[in-house]
Amino acid sequence: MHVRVKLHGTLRRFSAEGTPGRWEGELPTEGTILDLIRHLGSSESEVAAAALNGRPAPFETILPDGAEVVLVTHMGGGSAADRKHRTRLS
Amino acid sequence: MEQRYPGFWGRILRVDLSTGQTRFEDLDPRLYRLYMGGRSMALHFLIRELAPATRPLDPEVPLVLMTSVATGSPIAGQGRHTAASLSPLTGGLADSQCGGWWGAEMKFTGIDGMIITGQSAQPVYLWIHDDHVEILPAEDLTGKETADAQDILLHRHGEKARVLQCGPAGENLVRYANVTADLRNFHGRGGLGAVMGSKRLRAIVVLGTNRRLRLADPEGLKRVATWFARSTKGHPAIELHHELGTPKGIVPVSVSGILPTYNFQDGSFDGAEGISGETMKRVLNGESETCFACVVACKRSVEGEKGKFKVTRRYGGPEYETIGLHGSNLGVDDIVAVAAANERCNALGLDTISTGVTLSWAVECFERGLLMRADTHGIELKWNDPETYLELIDQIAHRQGFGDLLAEGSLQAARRVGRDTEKYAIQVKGQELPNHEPRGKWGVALGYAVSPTGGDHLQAAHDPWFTKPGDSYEDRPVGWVDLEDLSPVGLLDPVPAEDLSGSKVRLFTYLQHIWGLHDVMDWCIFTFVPEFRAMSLNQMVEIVRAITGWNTSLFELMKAGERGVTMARAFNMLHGFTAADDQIPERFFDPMRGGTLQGHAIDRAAFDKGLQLYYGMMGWDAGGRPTQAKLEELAVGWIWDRMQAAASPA
Repeated sequence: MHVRVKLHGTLRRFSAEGTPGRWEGELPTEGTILDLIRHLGSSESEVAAAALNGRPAPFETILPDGAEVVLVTHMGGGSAADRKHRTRLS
Repeated sequence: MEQRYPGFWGRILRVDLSTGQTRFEDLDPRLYRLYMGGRSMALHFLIRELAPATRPLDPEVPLVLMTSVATGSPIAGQGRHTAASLSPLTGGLADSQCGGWWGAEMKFTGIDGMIITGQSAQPVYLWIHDDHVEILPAEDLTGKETADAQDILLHRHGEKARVLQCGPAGENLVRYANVTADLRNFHGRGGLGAVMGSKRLRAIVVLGTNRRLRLADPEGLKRVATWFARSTKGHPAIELHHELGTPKGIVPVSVSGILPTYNFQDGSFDGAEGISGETMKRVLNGESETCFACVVACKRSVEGEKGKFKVTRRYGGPEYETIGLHGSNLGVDDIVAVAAANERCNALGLDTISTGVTLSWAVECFERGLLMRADTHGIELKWNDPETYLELIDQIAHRQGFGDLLAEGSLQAARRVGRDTEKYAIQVKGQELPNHEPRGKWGVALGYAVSPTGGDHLQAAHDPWFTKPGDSYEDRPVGWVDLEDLSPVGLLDPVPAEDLSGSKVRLFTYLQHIWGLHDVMDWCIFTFVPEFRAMSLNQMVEIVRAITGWNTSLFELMKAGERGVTMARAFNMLHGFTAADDQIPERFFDPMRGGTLQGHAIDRAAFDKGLQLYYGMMGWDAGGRPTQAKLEELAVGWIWDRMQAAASPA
């Protein structure tokens, strides 16, 4: 399953070489956003929020083939969505 | 000039522009130990010397410029200074800290601050070169954009001089005119530029030769400075901050649903990528710049052009607040257009935050049919129309056409127009809100409500950092801040972002004391906890000890922060404010229209209860007035006497 990811905040350290803020690769079928986060080498606690194909998405969301994912960290000024709210929005 | 005390001079400059007299005044060193500097030192003079009945922009209103005992010391975060006065935008306290180099340079002339009163008959500027103080004519600067005035002054006084000035907007008494230091740093908020304009004081040029301040323990300070410089290498958060500056936050905040969009109607913006820090770096050749003695170097400098929009490096580049409020909050998704708006505001001397939110008020009202062409002098207003916004920015600064109404700020403009437009003015106490949607972080809502300067996001570190348990320093020595960094003051338990329970209010109150300490020390939040896991709370104590030689403690420093917050509150009470002014716009009690947090709203009962808990924790009464006991405990009992006298005038 092919996934394209935009990385913000400190997650940029997981960028593919030569493409700052970007990562592209294969994940096992039925993989979730949380699986992707761990695959990159990050953790649930570092990532503040995720969007899938332009829409906010909880970490349990199963990724479709060709998914475009945005991952963000908490930032100066803060990023609001905590776990509870992401779930409620789903 | 002999520096009598480690870290500070113990002397200020007094300037009376009505009489043209200047004089130095020695201060009791005990004032420095009590107040530390900055906001509190300014308030000491403002509360004593400004009669409560005085109106904003009257000649007798003092403009106070102040540093702290730490300013100018060779360690990151010490380049800031305070400006304070009576705000023409809110009628209460204007209190603003500005980065860059000017504050340190003023201190190198041999003074810790200055108090300027009166009104000159003709336009003037101040030239201070060590003990040489002159009031000089400024007719040739009048009406000039800030870069042109800067060029004239540096040509006259040398390239090493530092220039603090208002722009044409200040001369024209725009209520949110700003003050710029060397074109790239700002006293953005509260209309301090109009205070300078009202005094016909265009600029203050400083050049000092006392560049090595005497410190109590220079080696001790060097140890902390060296540790910090080393810790920034490989520090993921500070390196990112260095690379992208504050604009790094635009997309994360949009994805999280708290990026003000379309005048705070939505919390996520489809065009966020177009105005992101990454895009700015790529499209506008963003480069890093720094402030005095700072290794973080988060300032942006940009240049480029696209269509009708051209941006030069003269004014640096837009920060996060400006990008949101001239970007998403006006529906603009083009970083070049946003940077052009930033440049025009800075050339003319306008606060980018209040300008942006006053424009978004007008656009929403026009869209709703509450403002018409007859009001706007024929201009049609719509979202994502940056060319029109640029035209209006010029009109505001020169008080021409529709701009003359907008120059009053969104609240006063709405009151003049009527027609229920006030509910779309996103402001507190008359000052427009910055680029933070509070429905996703209720501590920020509380901060907006109780901020002594009106809508302001710098009351306390924002809630989302503290919604989960902290990581130990051993596991994660560098990175973003979290609860572990606050453990020295006993803040240990996570609290949800959308919450105003007792635990949250306690967190907010302590955080406000810490940020209040930054405001009295004139410290930059980007070098200390609680913005980054950088210099820690306990290292703050080490720094003050090394500079001053005082046997201080975190307890004393926290009290210094609290004292500043309470003095600011007392100042506003003296100028007619009440608890009724601690309110946020109605919009935030309604569900958010769109974005990640669509449907989220602040619970009004929780907000009201949180406000009362906050008053109680601050030692204020149910009406939000500091009690005599609290003022005495903070060793400023004399303010109680003034509050009593103002409450029952003879």
